[in-house]
Amino acid sequence: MALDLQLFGDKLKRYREQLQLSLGEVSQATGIGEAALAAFENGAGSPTGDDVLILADFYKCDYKFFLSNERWTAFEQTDTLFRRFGDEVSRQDRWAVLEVLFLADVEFYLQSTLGKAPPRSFTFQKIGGYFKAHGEQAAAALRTYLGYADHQVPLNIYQDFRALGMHVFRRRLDNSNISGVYVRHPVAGPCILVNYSEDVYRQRFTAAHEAAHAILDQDEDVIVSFTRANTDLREVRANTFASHYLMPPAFLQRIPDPGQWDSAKAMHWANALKVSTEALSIALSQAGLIDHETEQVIRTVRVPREAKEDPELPETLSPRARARKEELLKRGLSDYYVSLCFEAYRERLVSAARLAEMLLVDGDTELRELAELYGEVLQYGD
Amino acid sequence: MAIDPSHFHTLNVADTCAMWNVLSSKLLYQTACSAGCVFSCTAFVAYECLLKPRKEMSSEDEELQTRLRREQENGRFQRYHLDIDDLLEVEILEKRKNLGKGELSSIAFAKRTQQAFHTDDTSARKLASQVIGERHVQTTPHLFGWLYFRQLLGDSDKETIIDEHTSLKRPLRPYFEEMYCRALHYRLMANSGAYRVIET
Repeated sequence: MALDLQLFGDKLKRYREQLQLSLGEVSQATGIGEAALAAFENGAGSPTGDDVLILADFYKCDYKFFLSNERWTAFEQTDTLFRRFGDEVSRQDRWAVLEVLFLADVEFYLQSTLGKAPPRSFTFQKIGGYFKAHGEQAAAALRTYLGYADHQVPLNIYQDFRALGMHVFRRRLDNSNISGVYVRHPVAGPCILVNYSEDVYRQRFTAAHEAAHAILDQDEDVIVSFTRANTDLREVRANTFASHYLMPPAFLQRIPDPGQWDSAKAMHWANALKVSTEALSIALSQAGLIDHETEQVIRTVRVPREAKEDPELPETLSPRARARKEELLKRGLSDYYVSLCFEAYRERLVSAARLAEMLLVDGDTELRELAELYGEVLQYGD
Repeated sequence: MAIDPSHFHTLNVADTCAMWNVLSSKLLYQTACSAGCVFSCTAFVAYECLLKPRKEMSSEDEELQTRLRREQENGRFQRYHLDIDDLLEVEILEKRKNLGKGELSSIAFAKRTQQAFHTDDTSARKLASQVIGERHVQTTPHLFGWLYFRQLLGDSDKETIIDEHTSLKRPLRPYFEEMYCRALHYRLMANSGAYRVIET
């Protein structure tokens, strides 16, 4: 099959522009000369197979994408995202989105290969045009689907959403105004990026908010959620879903003396529900349980950071392992994802070099350290 | 199938890990070159070894890079380019999510040029064998064993090679030890006429 040089060049140029890179920067990182890169982009130069592999490695994409017209990557989605939200997504955050989509693609492949792909059997049919009701009903339906009683608090919502076939990654973003990103990957399906820079409880809310987009906005390819107030009906609906999923009204109504609140009580119930006091105050207000003045009192209370538990960084870990795993989480490498990668390696489905690529590791030493952290051994024998 | 140290293809396309392991011991590498072994690599592997930006570089990494650059200046470890068609081979495409890009490129090039693919990773060996056949996939301990089998290394060289290798934090010590014993066993069998060695 002859390579369509014009199409190849167009993809290269669009990737570079998406990431706001100069030819010089790409040249420095890849070792391919600027003149050669410019010729490729103009459809005037023929790349070698190695050039294609190097560029695929640099742009974190499947090399087959460069050689065919099929939609193997989320390229069109990121193109839309960066065009629509251009100024608000920094260069670093564009890389972050690209890496997360790469991780989602790998996760989907490993789940499928290891026979662990979740069934994606939860669906919700929207009825009528009242957006908030969609959010309320979908949250209630999902809680029922996952077997949560009214009094039960979802502890590990990341696990909940992964069980629905969503690819959930928490990763530190440069722009603190972005709380999360939802992308529908053409191969992997719904992908959720939660900004790790946010507070642990806010991240829970964001994950639920982005999950709402996956469930209720299936006609959308990309949505960026910002921390600022938003009157967009889809955002209001996603917030309603997140609130009702994490704090069902039936639960809130069972809180003793629903009209009487002080700091200690606000802290206790925010921590019990694992939500911010701000989210709790809004939920109580919308359930008609508190007045405006009490809402203000509750939202000024702060749950101390050390009192908050992160289900993906359990207290049972040693301080060293916890610190190391937190560094991994900030890069998007959840315990679930890393364990899946090592399982594929143990099963000899992937090589150590591919394992390093999948874990965004760039040397033997780092890979060996990571293997040690997970109690794994790299295999070199017969 | 267990590695047979009585046979070794002298023309090798090395992946990144194998390249570092071969270069980690000067004695092993020089003896291999004297025995007629030729190691080459693809342009992708050269990029991965020398150009690809890294978060951290250890002194051991720097030493290995220096050795590779020096060898390339001397005309060894030459790098070769793949064709686009090499990447479009069905078996290569099928393995693209199982192997690293360096391994994929090396296997594709070894296949086209009928050389051996040199790798030290167990899974890469297994997956590469499905593409180019088991006999065309070789390891650094295999090379070590073959040099012993050919009596190009002496008993006292073993510790030197292992010390040189481990001083650069490379991981093959137990496999060198194992292969040393296996090579002696094969040589004993060959000397006793249990089987005949056919040079390849």
